[in-house]
Amino acid sequence: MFVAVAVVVSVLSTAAPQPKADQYAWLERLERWVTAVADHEPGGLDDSVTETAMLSRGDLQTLWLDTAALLKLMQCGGVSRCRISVKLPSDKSAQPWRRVDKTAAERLERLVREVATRFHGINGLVKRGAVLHTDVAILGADITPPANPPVVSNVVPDQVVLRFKDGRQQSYEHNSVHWEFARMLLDHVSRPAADDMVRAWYHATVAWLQHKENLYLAHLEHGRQIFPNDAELLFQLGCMHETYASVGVQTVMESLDHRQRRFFDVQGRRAELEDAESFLKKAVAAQPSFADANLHLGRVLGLRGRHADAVAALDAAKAATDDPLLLYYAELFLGAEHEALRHFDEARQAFEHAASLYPAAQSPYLALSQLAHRQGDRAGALRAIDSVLQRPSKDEADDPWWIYTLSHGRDADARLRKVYERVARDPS
Amino acid sequence: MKSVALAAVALGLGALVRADQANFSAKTEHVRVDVLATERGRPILGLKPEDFEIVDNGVPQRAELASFEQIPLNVIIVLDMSASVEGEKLDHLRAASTAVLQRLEKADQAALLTFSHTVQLDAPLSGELTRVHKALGDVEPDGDTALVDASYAGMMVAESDVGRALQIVFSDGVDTASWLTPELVLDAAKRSDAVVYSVSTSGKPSFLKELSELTGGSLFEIESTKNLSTLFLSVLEEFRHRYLVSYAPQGVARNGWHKLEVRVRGRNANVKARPGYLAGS
Repeated sequence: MFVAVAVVVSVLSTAAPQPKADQYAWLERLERWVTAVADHEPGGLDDSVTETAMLSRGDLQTLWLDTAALLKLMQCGGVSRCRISVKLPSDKSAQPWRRVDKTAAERLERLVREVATRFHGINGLVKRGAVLHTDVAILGADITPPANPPVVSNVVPDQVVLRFKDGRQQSYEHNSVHWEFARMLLDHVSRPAADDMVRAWYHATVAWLQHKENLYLAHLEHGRQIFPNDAELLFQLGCMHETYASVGVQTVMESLDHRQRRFFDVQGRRAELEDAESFLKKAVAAQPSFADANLHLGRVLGLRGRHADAVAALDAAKAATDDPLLLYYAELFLGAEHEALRHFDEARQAFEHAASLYPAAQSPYLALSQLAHRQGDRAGALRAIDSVLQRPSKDEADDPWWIYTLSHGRDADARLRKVYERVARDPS
Repeated sequence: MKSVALAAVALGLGALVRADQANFSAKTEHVRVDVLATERGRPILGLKPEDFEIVDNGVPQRAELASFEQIPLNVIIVLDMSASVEGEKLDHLRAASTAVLQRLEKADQAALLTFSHTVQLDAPLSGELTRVHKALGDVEPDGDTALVDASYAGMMVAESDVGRALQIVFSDGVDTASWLTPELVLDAAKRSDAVVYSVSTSGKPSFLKELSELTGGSLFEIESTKNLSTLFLSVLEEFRHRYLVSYAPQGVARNGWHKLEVRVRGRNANVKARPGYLAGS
């Protein structure tokens, strides 16, 4: 399993003048992008995805500016009617857009009219565009763009990702700029906070990223700025901080030197658990019957030593679901909390219930063995450990404990499909 | 609760009684302590029960038995097989484990337990060492690291038999996958007779350090696995020079933590033994 943590490490540099021979290259790129957005079948790895994935970082940086400018042009009704400035994500100030000659202005006017017709307005373009870039980030991840030409502008925040596995650093690499692109597009939806598609897109993409253990806090925080009281986003934020508190993440952070560590938003274990509790409590307050949120809240409270509170949250999780996966986690965690409270009978019952839900799982039997051993029942301890050792499966599906940190993104694919269906049905 | 063993388990006689046949309600309970006594770096030979001074929670006790070499060993080899153990490191692990197996004596037994995110008993505790040899050849690294779960499972394999248990644990990383917590497993170690020697290349082996200290073993922190065979053999050699001392606790409360002090009377000896044991839940 890989986990990635994102961080902004580079910011704006000013645009350099284009060589004369390529003076309309930016415009052709913009026109091709509009065509790619129109032709893209949501959820499919088609030519639009391939062509967009093949854009170099330099091309994408330029396209970012020009797309933002195109959207402004659409808002003000055409080239002749407005002065365009572009607000850069890496810089709070607005920067003047490029100067365009008469030929470019005419082509832009045509493009504005075409977009208005093909996409029924800005919402149609930005939603379909966001879906295209989402698919590039997800489906086009293995497509390698050509070597970068010299970067003429560096307007998109550069997200460096530290990949690690089993508590060890693996590599540094760039996060997909297409997530940024999609967010920028959706920021142009009229009243995004009231738009169901935008909300559903954040739910789906956050779940997908979490399921892939890409701990992309900036993405989640951006969604929360738009939907500050959204239970799902609060829940996912809580889960992310819970994961940040884990041994795997904390160990990797400790292996970084001070200079490297300050790029990452990861605090110490205690502070991360505090943040996790805070977000999960808000999620539960927003939606009291939210089984996943109650489950994770119970787990976090237990890790913070608040065992009685943890039992209450885990009981609430159990009462709110009949999903065997969530029930398994709830019973496993309840067993641990009851044991911490020295309620040994309740602990054993909870572990036994967990074992009955996933008979091939090792964790409940390890727990039962340890509990029996603690109570002086060596025969019981040996019987339970025998059950563990008779279950040498390495299949992660056999013991959901091994994939607990992925479980809150388990329905990501279904959520993405719903977003795609919605956009295909009603792009505006 | 292995630290309190039945008197019926005849120490020094080589009797092997399945632990699940044991009865803990017996009134006569004995505590077993594995003791390494050295002088100027060399093991002291020929000590008798009366040579040992044992203090349990501040109360002097009378050692009844002090066995040396007569009791067959149960060696439980617990190896990290997470994804990071590959190539040369895996070769060194196999070679070191094989060296230990080749040095075992006829009555000794061995088991192989490996772990990634899962815990696997590749070869159960047995005198048929060819099974362990074969299992060593078959293991393949993969997955995360459930060191804490595996350390506990290793202790339980040790407790499945009454022989003297030496548990050798190797890990190259931190725990990222266990269900059991270090606190619970350290608690279990306080109730167990197994002596854990551990070897770590991770640079932060706090759990293994505590586990080794609590059981009277040692932790070896190494940077390279190049000399792992020599290290594993030195562990086996040291363990063979330990005395198994037993006594029936007198004048102390049964439950709770029992702090142990072990000395050799009339000698300026260095003594390595577990610092205590835990009885009751």
